[in-house]
Amino acid sequence: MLKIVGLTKTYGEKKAADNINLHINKGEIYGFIGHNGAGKTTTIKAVCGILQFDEGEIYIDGVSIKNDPVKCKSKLAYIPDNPDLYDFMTGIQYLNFVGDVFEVGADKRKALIKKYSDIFEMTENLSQLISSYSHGMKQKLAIIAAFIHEPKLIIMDEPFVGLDPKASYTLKQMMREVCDNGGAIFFSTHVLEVAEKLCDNIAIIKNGQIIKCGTMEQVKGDASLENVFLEMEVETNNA
Amino acid sequence: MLKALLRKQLMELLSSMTRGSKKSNKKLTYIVLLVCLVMFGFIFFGLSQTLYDSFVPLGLLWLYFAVLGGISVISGIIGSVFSTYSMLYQAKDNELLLSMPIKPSIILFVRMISVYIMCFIFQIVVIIPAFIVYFMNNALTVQGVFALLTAIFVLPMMTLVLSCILGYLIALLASKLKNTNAVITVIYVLFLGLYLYCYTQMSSLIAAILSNAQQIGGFIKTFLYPLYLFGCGAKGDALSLALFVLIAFAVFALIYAIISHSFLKLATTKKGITQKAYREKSIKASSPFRALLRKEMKKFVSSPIYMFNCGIGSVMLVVVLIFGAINADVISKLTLLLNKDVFSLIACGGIMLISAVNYITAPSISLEGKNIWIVKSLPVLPWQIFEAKIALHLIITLPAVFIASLGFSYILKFSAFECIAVLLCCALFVLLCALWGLYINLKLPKLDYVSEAVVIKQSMSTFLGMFVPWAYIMLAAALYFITGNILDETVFLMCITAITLILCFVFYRSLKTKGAERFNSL
Repeated sequence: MLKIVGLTKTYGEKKAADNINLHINKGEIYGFIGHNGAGKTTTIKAVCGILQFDEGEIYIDGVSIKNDPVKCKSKLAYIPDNPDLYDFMTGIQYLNFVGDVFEVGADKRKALIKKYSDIFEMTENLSQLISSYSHGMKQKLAIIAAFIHEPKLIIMDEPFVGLDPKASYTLKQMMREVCDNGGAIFFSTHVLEVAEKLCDNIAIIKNGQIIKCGTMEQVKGDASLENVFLEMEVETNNA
Repeated sequence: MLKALLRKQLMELLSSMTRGSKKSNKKLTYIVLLVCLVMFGFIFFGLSQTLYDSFVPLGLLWLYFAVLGGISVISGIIGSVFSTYSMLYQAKDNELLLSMPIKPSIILFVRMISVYIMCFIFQIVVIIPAFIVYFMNNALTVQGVFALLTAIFVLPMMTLVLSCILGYLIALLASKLKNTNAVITVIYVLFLGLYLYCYTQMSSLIAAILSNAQQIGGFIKTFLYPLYLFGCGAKGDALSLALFVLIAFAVFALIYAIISHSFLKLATTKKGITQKAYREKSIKASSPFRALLRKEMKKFVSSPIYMFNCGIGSVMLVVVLIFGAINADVISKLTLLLNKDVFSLIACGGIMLISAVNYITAPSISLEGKNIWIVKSLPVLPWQIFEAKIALHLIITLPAVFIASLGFSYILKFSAFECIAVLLCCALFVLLCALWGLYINLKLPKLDYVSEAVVIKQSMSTFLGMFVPWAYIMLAAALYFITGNILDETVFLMCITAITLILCFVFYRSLKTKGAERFNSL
């Protein structure tokens, strides 16, 4: 579903992403962890077509994002770490805007908006301006907007930040549901317990390079993900 | 701390002008600004000369300075008032700064410095020419230089005070009423009406001032005493000048104290939102283009400062047409006196000039701000996003241009061919303005703005978005004077239309290729 080959992105002299290779299959939840500034957001933004990269290739469902970005974007949904949405729109106007651009039919859209806004208890608030929403409500709206066009691949940058425990739980269930239906999820997180419980595969990034990746068992073995992550940090710092 | 805040404020102000520019382009930016200031300075130099020649023989040198001081204050208010409210109370870094150990009064003071700088820039183009005229006719004295410095640095304080009072009143009203945007819109409309009235009456106002100098002088002495003091001070009365400075500082201190008292409350007021529960309605799906256009439209109407700075040209076109219709008889007589054919060019040039005041696309990329990730992650081509922005510009501008073109064609009794030529030329010019605005904003974007006012009113892209089309019209006019004897007026108009069409195509191609690349790299 998602194939990253030799992705390299440089800011000045700093390599934010250095020859990154990842392969995410259908039905997989792929976690992406690393310290602040490691290159997670750069990689994620490159995958979504928001950020242009210097070298490498990214394929979404076999289509190169360089060659056909529109087709790639129509298959994926992106949920950013900071949901800056259009403050001048109401919740429902924003959802309809996304629905129109992704060309979701009226009846289907209506049903999906109802389904997901009910799940996140946002239905009552849909006629309010987004400017009046709290951070968590904006995050929920961004999630609903991502789900209403039924993407095959969902890319999330720190999706649990700002969500209340119930919404976090609901999102985890929805993530699993997407994968069970043949989709895939690639998300970054700092909450290692969540990654450990939720992910099928995991990649650890440091200084723009993938230092370890594979299935959860391959990466952590018998130890906890937290221990593995911290040990790797120390090892690479000493190296 | 104050130093750090001031540095941040100045960086914000400067970056709004030069963001995205290379070092060499920054120099060019400052040169362009300087050239514009000098151009406006020349206009006020002519006015100063007229007033000086009229007032000085009557022994009213103080009135000369008072009137020009008054004009500079009005110029400063016009230049700053629309952004004072948003700069003082709606800055996006409000919460960040308020969370720091900084007194709200200090934050307000630093923001007021920004408004002061704006007033200062708008006022020096009036004040410096006034003193140049004075020094051309009088010896350069220490007292004169001191008066000049006072005028340059203290007079903007008066404007700042007036601008801040207005901004304060808007903030106060906005905090009491539910529909803030409607309130601000009404205030802007009222102010705009007053501005347009003064602008259209400018020549008669000047004539009235010249013919009623004594009465005007009496009025200023009675009701605008600080201006009287300024006039006397600039003339050479040291005591008056000192008193003026004292009053300016005292009034500033008083207003600052009043505003800073309620600044925290007004800057952080979040009005209670009526909980209007969402009721499911039938959904009508539309095309991506319509969705993007609707989004642009919503952005436009939700921001009074965007609407009134970038859409004012449409209102002005209708006002000018009404003015033309009222004075149709006078215009008809003029057409009999002059070469009738040239009126199609004058009408076309005038409509184009006013329509260029609408620079809707010029800040449109910058206004995406932190939300730019949304459009960049959508399955649409950059050109589709540009199309929506261009369409908004056309929707807001073209109807007024068509109404004005048809209206003036009727008033000036143009032939069908002339009417079509004017319509076509104006319509293509509007398209060119839209394409150019987008092009220049892609070159000079500012996505990390703190206040929308900075992007809309002070950015280099909006400045060039309006002035370059004006320069194009001037160039066309110059071309006419060179080729006037060779080409028939309508043929000349068609040639300009053809050149405009070619330019439209060039910018269209550039936006589709390099523009799209630039957008992707933002």
